[in-house]
Amino acid sequence: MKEPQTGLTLKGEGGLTIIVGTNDSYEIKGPFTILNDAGDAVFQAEEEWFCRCGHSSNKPF
Amino acid sequence: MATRARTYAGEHIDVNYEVRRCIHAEECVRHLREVFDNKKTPWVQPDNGTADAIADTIHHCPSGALHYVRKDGGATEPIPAHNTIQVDEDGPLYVRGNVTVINGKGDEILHDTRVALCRCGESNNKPFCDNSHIESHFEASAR
Repeated sequence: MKEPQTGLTLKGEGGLTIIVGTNDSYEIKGPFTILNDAGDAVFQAEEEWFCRCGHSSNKPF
Repeated sequence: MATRARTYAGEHIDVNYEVRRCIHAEECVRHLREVFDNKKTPWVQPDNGTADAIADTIHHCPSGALHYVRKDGGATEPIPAHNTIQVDEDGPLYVRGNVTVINGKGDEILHDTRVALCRCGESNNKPFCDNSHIESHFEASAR
């Protein structure tokens, strides 16, 4: 896995909390950058919900 | 972090291996086969490499199955300055950073720098990936 290569300035400075709700999605809080398969930065967020059932029609969210 | 882990003790570094979180990415085998060789018993032989090389190799383990404890005064694993989530095609979410995983009740279940999270819904070790996406033919683009 390589380091992000795009010009985006990566956010850090703080932990990432992943809340695994019962029968629910992952709620991810904290500054983070989403990388694609190639390791390139796609976008940044501070809070996002990720699918963990495999059935979202808008994966990975 | 190292609960349920098996320890392979070396003179300068101990390697902890949590088999349930291993998804056989084999980054360790590729990086340092003298130490990590799944065709040998034991499969981890910490005295076959330098502590620095072993630590550097373990930093590449995407699932967090491997960790280490330095006995030579060397640096502990650095916490990445940035949190990243890599979406693996047909596979898990690879999370790196200063990562805390908590359950729905608010209890901490893991604090780590490297985690592979199930996103196919079929893992027997949720929320961690256990490679069940392969058997279930999970299909999801990496975006």
